[in-house]
Amino acid sequence: MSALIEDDLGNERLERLLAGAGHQLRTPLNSVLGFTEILLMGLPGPLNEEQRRQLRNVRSGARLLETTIDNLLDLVRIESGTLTVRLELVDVGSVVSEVCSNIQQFADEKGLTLEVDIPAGMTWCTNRRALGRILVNLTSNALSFTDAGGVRIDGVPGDGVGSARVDIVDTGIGLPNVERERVFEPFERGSARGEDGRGGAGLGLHVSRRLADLLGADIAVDSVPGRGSTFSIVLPRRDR
Amino acid sequence: MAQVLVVDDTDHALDLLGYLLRDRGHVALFARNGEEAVASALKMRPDLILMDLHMPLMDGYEALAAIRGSARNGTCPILALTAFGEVGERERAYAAGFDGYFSKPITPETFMDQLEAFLGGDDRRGAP
Repeated sequence: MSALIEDDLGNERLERLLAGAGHQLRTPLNSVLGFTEILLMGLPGPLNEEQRRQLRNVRSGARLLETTIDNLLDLVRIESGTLTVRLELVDVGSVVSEVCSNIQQFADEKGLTLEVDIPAGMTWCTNRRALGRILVNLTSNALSFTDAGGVRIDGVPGDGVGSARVDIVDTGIGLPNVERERVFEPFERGSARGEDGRGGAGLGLHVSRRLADLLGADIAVDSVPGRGSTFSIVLPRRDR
Repeated sequence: MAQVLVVDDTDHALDLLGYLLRDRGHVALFARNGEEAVASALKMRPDLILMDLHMPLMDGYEALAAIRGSARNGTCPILALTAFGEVGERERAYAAGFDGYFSKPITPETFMDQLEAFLGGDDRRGAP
């Protein structure tokens, strides 16, 4: 009993520590991203093309850092068992549109489309924050490894036979069979996703799968190399 | 044009948000902690308040309660903007009565569009 209480206190302390660390990391990042964006918008004055190119590099580097910070903090929470995911009724469409509003600019910059087709009223018994984190990671991963075409987010309601799922479908470089599991390892990526400077070889897919585990959900991958990949968040059938 | 009170204990955040608000033709008011926020909210009666949650002296939750509890500015939209990102913070903010929740770092253009959606159209813009 006392061990339990101590454990809870330890968890609470760890969560405060992580939240505090996150605060200290995100606050300066807010300055870097915010002022870079203001410059890129041309608000203080016009920029030449080379200045724009360099500032876009600052911005994409800072965004990658942001994703890494969020994923690293979540991974520590998961590894230490302090991450609690309370299940609640979540409107899937609203989580997806929130994710898209944060990620649309990334798609625009790459000249890619980002389309959403979630049936109205599609609700899941899941955790809003965790679902959002998984969607951010899967969608930015899809955009990172797509050079033409775009990414689609489709909601498929369960019908009693099949499970409910959300598919993130890209027209990117795809994944050979043998690498479909490897990309879920921390700091791994497929060989074809090699050393060409794409962001994202990091924690995103790993953390997504760990979060899905906590939600009792699964992440499935289907892919045709050269044609594209589909990452699906598959919800367990409702048996409550 | 709206009057927006920005509450944050970091200079950069005030500078950034002030710049973005002025660019969109709004007037930015500043407060550096919850106490200043409450005083300014009651005196200036802004159209919208953008509130950091964790600040010295009085945090965003206490300031929200004080402003909501006053007759002078009880209905003004108050949005939480935080870099804290503790698990469950979003739910706590909505439960406390914030009208919106945003986390730092912000994407300026998207953020300003979302913020202006809370200003509710032309009735305020046309005001003298």
